[in-house]
Amino acid sequence: MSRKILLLLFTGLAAFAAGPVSAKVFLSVNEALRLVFGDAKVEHQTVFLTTGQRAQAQKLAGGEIKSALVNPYRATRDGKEVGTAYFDSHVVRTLPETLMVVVDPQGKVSRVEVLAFAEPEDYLPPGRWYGQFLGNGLSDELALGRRIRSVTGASLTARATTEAVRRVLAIHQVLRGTGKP
Amino acid sequence: MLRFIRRALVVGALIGMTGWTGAARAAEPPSVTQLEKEIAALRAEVEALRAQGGPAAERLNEIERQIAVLAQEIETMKLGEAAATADRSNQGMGPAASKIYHSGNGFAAGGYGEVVYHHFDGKLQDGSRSDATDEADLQRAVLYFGYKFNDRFLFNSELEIEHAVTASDKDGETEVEFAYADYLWKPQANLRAGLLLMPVGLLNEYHEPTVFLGMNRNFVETAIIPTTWREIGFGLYGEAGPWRYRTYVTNGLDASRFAADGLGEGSGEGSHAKAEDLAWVGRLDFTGVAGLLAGGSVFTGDSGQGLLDDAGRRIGGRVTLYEGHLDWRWRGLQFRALGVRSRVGDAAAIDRALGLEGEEGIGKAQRGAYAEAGFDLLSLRPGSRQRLIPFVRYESYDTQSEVPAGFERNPANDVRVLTFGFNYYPIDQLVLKTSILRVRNEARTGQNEIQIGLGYVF
Repeated sequence: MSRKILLLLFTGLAAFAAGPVSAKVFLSVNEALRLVFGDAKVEHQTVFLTTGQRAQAQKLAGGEIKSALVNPYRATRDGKEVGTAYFDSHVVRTLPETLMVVVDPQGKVSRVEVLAFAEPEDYLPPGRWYGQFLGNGLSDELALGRRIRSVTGASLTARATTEAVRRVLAIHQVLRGTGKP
Repeated sequence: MLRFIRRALVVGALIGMTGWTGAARAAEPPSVTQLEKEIAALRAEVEALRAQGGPAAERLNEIERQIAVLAQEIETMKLGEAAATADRSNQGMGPAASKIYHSGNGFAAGGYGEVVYHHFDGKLQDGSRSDATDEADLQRAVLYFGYKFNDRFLFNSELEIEHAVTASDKDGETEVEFAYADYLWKPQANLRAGLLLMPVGLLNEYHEPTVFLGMNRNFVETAIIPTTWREIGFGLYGEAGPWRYRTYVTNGLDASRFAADGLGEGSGEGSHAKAEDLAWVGRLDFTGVAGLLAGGSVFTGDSGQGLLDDAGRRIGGRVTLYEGHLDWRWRGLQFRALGVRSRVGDAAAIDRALGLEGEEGIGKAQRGAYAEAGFDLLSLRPGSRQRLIPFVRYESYDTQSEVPAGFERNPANDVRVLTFGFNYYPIDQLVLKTSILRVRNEARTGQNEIQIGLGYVF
């Protein structure tokens, strides 16, 4: 019995020796923008996709673009474009997550950050998994089972993330085609 | 102009309604979509009015400013909690249009299930006739309920009904598969307590039908690792760099329920589980390469739970189980392998205490291993969201790989199974499966089987 109590005490001590309470891993919009753009000037834009633009973006993304309202955050430093951030909220299984996808001036993904994730964190892929998207433009290869590898136990999140990145790249491409943002 | 004012009033009313109902419950509430349409129409009408020129221009500028505010309000609602703490003034983008916080009640529901048709071969391995009856079964229907109290505390549970009906003349069961509370501390260390899924193997924690290949769960992670294995306990989990870990203290297994065909019945399952003896389980996974999960786990703890030997002394009955696993995905290919061994201390004393003899004695060691590979043929078709994955799996296990002196191994417990078939996913949350099993054992009583079925998760 004393061994049992020692085991309980050990685990309890180990739990509370791990350090003080810190902020949650999730980021606010502003924290995410600061993280990726630092002191660059960030211009918040509001764009209403036309019916034609939305249809074109859906075709490019290979999935539905639910909203015609798009809010790119275009960052510049010394007048030179640094990148454009988009925020995408979507349902993973039954609950939403919000991602930030940053597109570089060449139209390639330069960052993917999870801002909010309401599903159990067991369904959240490891941080390094998101690195697969970096440097990718919109192509057939940017898909699960092709260049993007799935995650054991988090396949729905992997699918939702891949589709969100495709949506952002498609919208970015369509907007760039019309000279915006 | 009247139509314009009416539309503006509708937008205002919608904003009010949406503000009350909160934003983050769904990524795209219908009212937000409606708002967007109204605002787009408003904007078009402003442009039309501006084109007419005259003294209304100043008023139109004000209306356009208000539209911009409303558009920002919609963005905030769509982003939910992530936007709630945004301080846009720091970025020179004007004040946040709203202070909407996630006002959802935090409740979440989901579930999964599987329906299967079993066709058994009319003959056993040795050619003798089998009287097994083909059957169709709603094998599992599981409901998931979760509640997020706040950003730090949440609760998760699964309620399972097996074989559709729970009644005295049916073998259905109603079970709580897990029910735990989490304290989300930091990525490296989070606390968990309650009825926990044991972090052992590849299936036990992720056992939904859309996750694994083949109609039924593999034999190794059923007979040697008793999926779905859960115990009451508490512990830590988290990740650091490419490593993920879990470490729990739980009630120990119950040796009085062990059998020659496995230790699974010794699980307490949270139902008056004996806790005279405790156990520890730990798991470490490497996830540093995209598509790769490699790791292992160890479970150890006494299982005597007060069981006495012939001399009236408490039996320790330490069970130590260790396993290693690998899951690798590359393009359309997926590969899994797992090996597991377990040992039971004082097996002879347990057998004697339980009155088991000969081949009925529990093994003092168990072992199992499998490897499987599948390839998504539809990954070759650009843009496909469906998946068709033919697969093959070979597994070998023995629940009595060693028995205590004076007992005998039952050759029927030394099993090898070759399974092939396919998983077809029309969408990610629905899977149609077919498995063809070739079952062999050392007693030559193996029986081949075909399984066809459907799995869902929502």
